[in-house]
Amino acid sequence: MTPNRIREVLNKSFGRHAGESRHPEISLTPLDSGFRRNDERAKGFLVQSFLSALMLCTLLWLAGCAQVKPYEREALADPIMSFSRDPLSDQYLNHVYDVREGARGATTTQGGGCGCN
Amino acid sequence: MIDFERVENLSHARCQARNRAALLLFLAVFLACPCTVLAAVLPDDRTDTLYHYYDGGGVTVRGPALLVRKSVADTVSLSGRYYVDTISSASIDVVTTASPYKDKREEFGAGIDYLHGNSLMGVTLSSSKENDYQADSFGLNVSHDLAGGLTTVNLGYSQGYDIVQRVDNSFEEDINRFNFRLGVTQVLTRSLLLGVNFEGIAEDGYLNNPYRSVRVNPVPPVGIIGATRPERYPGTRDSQAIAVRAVQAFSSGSRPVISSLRAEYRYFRDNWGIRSNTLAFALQRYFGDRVLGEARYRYYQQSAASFYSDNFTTEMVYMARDKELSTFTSHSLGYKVSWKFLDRKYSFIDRMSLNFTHDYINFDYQDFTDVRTGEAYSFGANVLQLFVSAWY
Repeated sequence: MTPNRIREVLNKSFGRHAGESRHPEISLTPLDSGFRRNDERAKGFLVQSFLSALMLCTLLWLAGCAQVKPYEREALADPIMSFSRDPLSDQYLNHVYDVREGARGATTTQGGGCGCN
Repeated sequence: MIDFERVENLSHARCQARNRAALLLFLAVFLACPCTVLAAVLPDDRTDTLYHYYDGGGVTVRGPALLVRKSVADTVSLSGRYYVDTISSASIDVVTTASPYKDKREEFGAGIDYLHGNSLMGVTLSSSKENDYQADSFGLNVSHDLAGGLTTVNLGYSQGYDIVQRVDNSFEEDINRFNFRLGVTQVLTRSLLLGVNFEGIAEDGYLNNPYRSVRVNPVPPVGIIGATRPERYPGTRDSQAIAVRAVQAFSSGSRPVISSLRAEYRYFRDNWGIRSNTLAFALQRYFGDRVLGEARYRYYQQSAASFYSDNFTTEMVYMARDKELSTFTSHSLGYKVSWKFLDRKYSFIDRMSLNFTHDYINFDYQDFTDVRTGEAYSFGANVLQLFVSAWY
């Protein structure tokens, strides 16, 4: 990633409109305007916020219940108790699923960019 | 009359404002992490050298991958990643509407993690390139231990910028991608771990495949593709996914852990109308001191996007015939064997293992037809990995 490329990424993301077509003759407007309804996006954002809050409350409640002393955590430190024992291998397998399924996200690894569409 | 341009500009402005607010919130939390006396740890110093192979549905993908991680002080860890996909494709899309092709994708990644008290903060960069697609991204992550190390909270933000091109003309469009991640890992008992992860992704730009076509025929023809039009997708996509994971350890005699059972469920939704459920299990067990085996199963199900059709009877504003957006289920069955062939310090290496994994995935599409036969399409794929891991 060159410095020019980084500048371009930041400029595209926080400067000009995201998704602005480089070719006016095939502009996405107005065909997809109907799909960019604010109420639809607001609904998604509300669901997102609600799920996040619910998750935090549940986990903080569970945290209050847990009583495990440091000397009782030997089993928890074993590699087979990890959600992702081999990061590179898991990243590859998640990539295999990502490019062949409509769903994405909330996996144990953070993927890089790919020609997924 | 609706002013489409104004509506779109408003929508873009709100989207950008939201992304800026989320980034500022993340940075505020990132910088405000309190210092405590309990210490988190840096990731292991290790190198993984991997060769991967995928074969299914007329597509073969293979190539090497490398991950190197090394701490340079007690509080800093650096990582570098290299990954290659060498693709040979004669998939169902390709054989029915185009010609088989070969392609190569290279991905480079780098990261730095900084340990401060019981907080671990990280920055990652990634760049991927193939002859008609380029993707760059950066990410920020912070994890923080709470409640005496029983609870770990993770926050992540990443932003990607892709360029979509065609190999046969000067077509070029872009995609902006924003990911927000929140995760909590909780120790429930001395042998049970629970994790909950949420990820929201917002995308803007040219989200369809510039090569793919849809079928538009008043009566679906059999044996031929019929009349086609280029795909047209909406210019935005918002999705949310939440996953719950648990790992339970089992002891045997004097060994505190002889095996473990991992279970996972993920729910996904997006504003394209896709809903999906993923259920996965993995059983891991030690065989002696050097061999570790794993058997795993994964079930995946999804509903179709609202603008997907196997055959459009009339032309619509949005049209897709991507089988990844159709209604389908998949079952995956696999195993993994790890052999620790170096278990004592040799020179600067602490231990090494040789690993092999094999997963078989079967895809069954409910509303995607193989136009050559007129029947619902399905295929199986083998996914193999061979890799060596070294800890030092």
